[in-house]
Amino acid sequence: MQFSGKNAFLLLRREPAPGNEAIRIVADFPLAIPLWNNSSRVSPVFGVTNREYSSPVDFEFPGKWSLIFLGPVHPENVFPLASIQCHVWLSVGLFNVVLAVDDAPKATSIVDWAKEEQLPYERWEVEDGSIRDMSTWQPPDVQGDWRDVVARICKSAFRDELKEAIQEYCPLMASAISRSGGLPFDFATELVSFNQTVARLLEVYYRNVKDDRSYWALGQFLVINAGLSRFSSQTFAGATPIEHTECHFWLHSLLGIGLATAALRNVRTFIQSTLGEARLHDRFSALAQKTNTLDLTKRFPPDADYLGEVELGSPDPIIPLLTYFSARDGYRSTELTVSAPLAAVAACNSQRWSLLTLTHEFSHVIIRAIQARLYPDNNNPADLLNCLALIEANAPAENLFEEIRRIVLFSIVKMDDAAQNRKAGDSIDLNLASLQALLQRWRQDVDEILVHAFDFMYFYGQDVDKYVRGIWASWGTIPNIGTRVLDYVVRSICAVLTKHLRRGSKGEAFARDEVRAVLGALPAHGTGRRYIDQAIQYIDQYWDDVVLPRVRARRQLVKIVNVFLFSEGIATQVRGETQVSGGAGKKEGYEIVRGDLEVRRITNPLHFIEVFTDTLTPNATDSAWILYMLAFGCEPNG
Amino acid sequence: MDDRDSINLNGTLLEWPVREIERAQLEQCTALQYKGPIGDSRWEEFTFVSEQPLRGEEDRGRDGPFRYLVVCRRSGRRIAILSLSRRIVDRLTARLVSEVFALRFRRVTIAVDSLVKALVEHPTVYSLSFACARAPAFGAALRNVSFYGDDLGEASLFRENLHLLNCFVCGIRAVSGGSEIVRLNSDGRISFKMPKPDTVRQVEHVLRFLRGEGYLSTEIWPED
Repeated sequence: MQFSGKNAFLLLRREPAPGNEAIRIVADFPLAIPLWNNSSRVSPVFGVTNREYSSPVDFEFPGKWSLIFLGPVHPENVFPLASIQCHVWLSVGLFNVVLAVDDAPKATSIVDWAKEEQLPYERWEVEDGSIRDMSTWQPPDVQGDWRDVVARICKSAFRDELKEAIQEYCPLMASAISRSGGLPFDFATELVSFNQTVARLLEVYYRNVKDDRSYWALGQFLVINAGLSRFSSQTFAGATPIEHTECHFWLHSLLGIGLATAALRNVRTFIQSTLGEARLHDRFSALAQKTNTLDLTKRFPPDADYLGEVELGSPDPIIPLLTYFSARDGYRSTELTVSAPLAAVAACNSQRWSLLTLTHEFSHVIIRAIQARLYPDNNNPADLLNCLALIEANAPAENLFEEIRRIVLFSIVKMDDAAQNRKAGDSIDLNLASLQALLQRWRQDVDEILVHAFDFMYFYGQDVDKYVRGIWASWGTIPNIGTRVLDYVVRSICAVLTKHLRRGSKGEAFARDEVRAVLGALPAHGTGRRYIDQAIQYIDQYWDDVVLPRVRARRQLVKIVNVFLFSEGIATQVRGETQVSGGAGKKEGYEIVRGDLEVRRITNPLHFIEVFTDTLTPNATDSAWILYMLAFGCEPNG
Repeated sequence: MDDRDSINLNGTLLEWPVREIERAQLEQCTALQYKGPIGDSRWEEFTFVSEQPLRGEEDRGRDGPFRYLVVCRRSGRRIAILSLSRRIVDRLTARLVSEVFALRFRRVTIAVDSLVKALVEHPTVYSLSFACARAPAFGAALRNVSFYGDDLGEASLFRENLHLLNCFVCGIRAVSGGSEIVRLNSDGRISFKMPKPDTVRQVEHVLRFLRGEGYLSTEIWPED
């Protein structure tokens, strides 16, 4: 079965006569508008090609039809389709297979098969476009003590706004868990686990938050509530009973985008099960046990898998990040959530809305955890005094962790010098106050350099073309970033510098040339082109005075990632794909045809996304195909 | 010596998820003619008649129809289909789906990476004669590597770097000697020399070994 590329919209609306609902397929969304009333809901449906069935794009259900909603199920696993002729459409909701059958006994055989397979279904009897009867599947209850946990959270003794936020959370989570019952994607287990994490945070962590930080805790809860609300609305809208569960992503208000959230969840699960479980922050902290004699500001450390060699004890379980789509948040990460832009649902086949951009957000999560220990705490005078001593000693620190911290401090001073155009030897005088100011000023920049270099090495495999095209395509979607283009140029070149550190002082120029070549080869027109022109101008005209000093000041940060944060063994887990059958050819070894809905297993969703999001033009059908492959091919339990 | 000894057969392990595959279904395909079993084995020989040339015959000025050797082994819902080239197998499979099966076959994937690592870590009666692998950690700097030999697991260069590799093709031979029995690809493709009853038995043993150790994505090749 293949996507045909002929898509339509399934429109449901309640007619003026009580209890009378109408359903029809229209070829394009504008055709639905004249039919719209206060109850109308709609979802895009995708046509498929096969000898046995068809997918009409304008269909009023003339005569008697059984309309059957099945899912989530891979369409090639709907075995009755081997012998029953019918109309077939696919959606990106949890009911992802929509069948129209004009033979009641055959429709019954499909429903019987679904019952046998314990597959959620709904069957609507339709006569000349009016729905005469509906039979629905009853989801099983989610077992366990989750209701007790929610009740305990609800009873938590917090004041004012935080109490309000917690009380909003409780029915939201209770509804999400209830609606996830019996669904193959096992959302229920993850939601129950997330709920337990929230309960633990409330009991252990937030309870100790002092008054002046209570708004920080409130902020965290608001983020959780916003993410959970979106996740629940997008995923479980369109689940049974369809007519009573409306999605607030209005173009998908009938069937929701549950399959898309499953795809997103599978990407997140993969990253958490590889990089997350590698616990780089714990390994990195263990470098404090390693004696040091090297001055890293002057010497390149010996080749070794520094993090890979660390033996971990029994670390705490990883907190599952709540994943959801959001038009407002776009690609964004917090301690507990990760979001992708809503536009990705219909455009994730393109470079600028590729789900591969998620890797940048996950890199932030990991670097944030590392920085929590590495970057000096500006509110801790003892820590600051220790940092001053490290700098003033002008000698290697006693252990590797402290030496790395020393080169971070060294970099911050250099970054400030470059920004202020100071000459060598004119650096700012360091004392407690000036160090505090520097640390505050450069925190985000240090994070970004580490994140870009990390993302480039772990997720892009130091492929300059893919990386530069990818990040500049995603930056192109952000309005009004003209003032940040210099920062983006510096970050791009710093990331690519990971390839050239061993080439000594010429490394920056090699990195520049590679970035410049890719930027120069990008299309002359299109989204974000003005930023690219600006970037090229910086490289061509302001390299020596503006760009190079900034890149050089960050060289030591790049070295930290290249030498100490990158582990070949861990990268093999992150970048490995065992479901390839060839080498580095056109499809990087995948025997997968774009648009073909073959049942295939993909063990590395990032590799799949990297290979198949290579176009400039968004396409809803190609995006739906990517979401199908990620949802069904990468299903962790499937 | 049989003139077919030097023929290399290429094919795929497949599964039809709906129900057991019967020979009668294969014979429903108008382009497929049953010839008979191979010796006393469960392997069956067919002829695929194609109007289109699938082995470059047009370059040699030959007209159709073109007849190609096909070797199958059915087992429950699974089937191995092999012929002189992958193109023939792909064309035949498409024809079978179109004329008879409606829902297409699934590939039975082979966990080649796990197999290679297990054979190196716990040597058995089989050794590795070939391995092709991705080296994902090195990204664009180093993409693929290949190894050839009589027993790759005995080479420390191979053993010590195996944790950095994802193997996707391997060749299997008996430790006791002889040439390569079968070459396995992670997407379910297999290839071996034109089977005679004794080579069929060797291939069958390897496939049973794969099934027994859980290297096939479905329960292919029950011990029937």
